[in-house]
Amino acid sequence: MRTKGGFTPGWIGYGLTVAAAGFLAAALYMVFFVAPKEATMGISQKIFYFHVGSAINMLVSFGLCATAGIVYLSIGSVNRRWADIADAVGVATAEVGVTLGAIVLITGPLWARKAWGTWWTWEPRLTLSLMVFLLFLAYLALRAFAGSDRFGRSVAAGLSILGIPALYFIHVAVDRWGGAHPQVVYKGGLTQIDMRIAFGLSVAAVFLLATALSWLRLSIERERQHLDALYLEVDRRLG
Amino acid sequence: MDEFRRYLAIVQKDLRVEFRTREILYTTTLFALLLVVIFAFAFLSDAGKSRDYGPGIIWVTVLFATTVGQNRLFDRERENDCLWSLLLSPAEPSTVFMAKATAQIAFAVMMQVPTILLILVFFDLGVTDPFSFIAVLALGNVALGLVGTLFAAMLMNARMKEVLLPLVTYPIFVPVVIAGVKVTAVAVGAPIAEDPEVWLKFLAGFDMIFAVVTVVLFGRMVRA
Amino acid sequence: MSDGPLNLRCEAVARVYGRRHVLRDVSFTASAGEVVAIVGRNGAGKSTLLSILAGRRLPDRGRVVVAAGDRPATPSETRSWLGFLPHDLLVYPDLTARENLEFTGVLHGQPHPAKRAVEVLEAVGLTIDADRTVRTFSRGMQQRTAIGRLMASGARFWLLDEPSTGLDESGRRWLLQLLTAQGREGRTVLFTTHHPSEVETAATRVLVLDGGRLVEDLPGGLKGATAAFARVDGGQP
Repeated sequence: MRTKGGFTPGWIGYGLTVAAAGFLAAALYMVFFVAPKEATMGISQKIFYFHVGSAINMLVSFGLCATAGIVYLSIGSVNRRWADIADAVGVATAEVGVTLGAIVLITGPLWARKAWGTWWTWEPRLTLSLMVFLLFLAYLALRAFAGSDRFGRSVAAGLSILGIPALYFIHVAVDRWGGAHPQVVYKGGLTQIDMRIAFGLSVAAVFLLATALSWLRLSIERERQHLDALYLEVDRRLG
Repeated sequence: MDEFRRYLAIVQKDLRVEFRTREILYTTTLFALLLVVIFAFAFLSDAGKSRDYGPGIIWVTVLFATTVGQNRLFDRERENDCLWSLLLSPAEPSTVFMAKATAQIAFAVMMQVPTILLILVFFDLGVTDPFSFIAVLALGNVALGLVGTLFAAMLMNARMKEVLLPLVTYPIFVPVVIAGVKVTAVAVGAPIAEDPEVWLKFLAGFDMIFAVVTVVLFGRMVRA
Repeated sequence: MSDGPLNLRCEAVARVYGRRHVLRDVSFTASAGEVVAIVGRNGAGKSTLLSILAGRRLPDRGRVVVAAGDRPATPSETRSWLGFLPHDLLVYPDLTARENLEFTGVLHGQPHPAKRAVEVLEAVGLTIDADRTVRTFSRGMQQRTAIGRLMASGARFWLLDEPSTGLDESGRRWLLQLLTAQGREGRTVLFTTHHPSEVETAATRVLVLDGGRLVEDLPGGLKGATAAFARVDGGQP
C-alpha cells in the first residue's frame, strides 16, 4: 500500500513541457518577427511582452502558494496526505514564483532605462512586484532555516497566507504613495492586432512554462516525500 | 471571565518580570537612542531639512528597536519551554496571543516615548498636529505588535531567529511604514499635500484585518 | 463536571523523527488511581511518549484521547486535566516560586490561587524560599517548584519525565510518597524513571518501552520492577 507508485512527471509533465516549448517558440516568433516595432520605444518595447507575462504569472504563483498554505493549515493536521500535497505545492509555486519575480525585476529596469531614462523607479506595479518577490524569498528562507519539520512548514504556510492581506495593503499604500509621481500607462503601446496576439501568446507561453516547472518541481517534492515514506516503512517493518 | 483573568495574568506576569530584570526596556531603549545618535551624524547637515527626513528616522528607529524587543520577549518564553506552560494550560491560544501582543506593544511604547522625544529635540522638529502624531504611532505599534508577536512566537526556537524575524515581517510592515511616515510628516508640518485622516483609516483597517488573521493563524500554527 | 472515572487512552500512537520511528504504535489505557512507571533505555521513546500524551507534540499516527467515562473531553477540559512536568520545567526563572504557583493557579482557573500557593509551598518544602526567584534555586529546588506547579494546577493526570532529577534522597522519598498519594486520591500518574527502587515503591503498573515499541505491560511492586528492568537490561551487552 504505502510502497506502491511514486509521483513521476507522467504525461502531464511531458505534455506541459512540450506545450510550453511550442508556445515559447511561437511567442518569440510573434514578438520578434511579426509584431511591429513600437513607434517611440523601438526594439526595447519588445521586453514588455515577457515582462508583463512573467508579472501576471508571478501573481498566479503567489495565489497558488497562499491557497496551498490555507489548505495546509486548515486540514493539514487532520489529513496527512493533503498536508503533504499542499506543502509540495507551496514549495513548487514559491520557487517558480521567485524565478518569475527575478525575470520581472531584471526586465523591468531594462524597460525603465529606455522608457523613463532611469534603471529603477518606484512605479506602483514594479514596487508591488518587488514586494511579492521579497515575500517569496522570505518564505523560502523560512523553509530553509526554520526547519523542514511540520512546525517549520506551518510557519511558512502562515506567512504565505498573511501575504494576501499584506499585498493588498502594500498595493493600496504604494499606489497612494506613488501618487505624486507621473503614472506611465503601460498598455498604451498595444495598438495593433499583431502586438495583441504577441502579447496574448507571451502570457500563455509564460503561463505554460510556469505550470510545467511547477509541475516538475511538485513531482520532485512528492517523490522526495515518497522516498521518506519508504524509509519509514522499512524502519517500521525492521524495527 | 476566566479568559479575561488569564489574559490579565499573562500580561501582568510579563510586566512583573520586566520591571524585575529590566532587560527588554533597558536594551531596546539604549539601542534606539544609539540609532538616533547615528542617524544624527549620518543626516544632520542642514537643520532646515530635518522635516524631510525626520519622520523617516522616527519610523526606522521604531521599526528596528521594536524588532529587537520582540525577539527578546520570546527569549523569555523559550527558557524552560515556558510558552508551553501557557499553551498547555486551559487558556485559549487566542488569549495567549493577545496577552503576549499586549505586553509586546506596551514595552514598545515605553521604549519609544523617550526615543521619539529625543528625536524631536535632536532634529528640532515641532509637532503641529499632536493628535495625528500620537494616533499614527498608536495604530502603527498595534500593527507591528500583532505581526511581530505572531512570528516571534513561531520562530522562538529557530536557529538564526534574530535575522529571520525581520526578514519575514518587514515586507509586511512596508504599508505601515509608508502610512506612518506620511502622517508623521504632516504632523511635524512638512510641506506635503497629504490627508492624514485617509492614512489613519488605512492603518486602522490594517490593524483590524491583521488582528483577525494573526489570531486565527496563531491558533492554527501552534497546533500544526 | 466529570461524568464517570477519567481515563487516558493512547491509541496506536506513532511518532517519526526524520526517517526513523521514535514511537511505533504504542497503545494502552491509564485509568484513575493508577500510578504508571514508564521505563526503558535511553532513546527508547519515553520522553516523546510523555510529551505526546501531554499535548506538547502531536503524534504522526494514532491519537491520544482523554475521556470522562465514555465521553471524550473537550480540548479545554483536556488541557485543564493534564499536568506535565518535562525536563524543561515550564516554570518562569524570573518569577519567584510563589508567583509561579499563583500564576499557574490563575491560568488553570483554580478558585483561590494565592491560598493554594501557600499550601503547595508548604507541601514542597519551599516556604522559606518562596519569595526568591526560581533562577537562584538549585536544580533540586527548581524541581520542587515544578512539582508544586502540578499540584497548584489541579491537574487530574500527572505526566512526569524523570521527576526525581536533582532531588536528594529524602526528596526522592517524599516525591514517591506524593505520587502514591495522588494515585490514592484518584488521580492518574505516569512517570518515567531509570531507578528500579522508584518503580518498586510507587508504581502500580510498569510499561517497558524498547525501540519505540511498548514491549511489556506489568503490574507494579517488586516483581514487576524486577521483571521490567530485566527486560530493559536484557538487550544490553
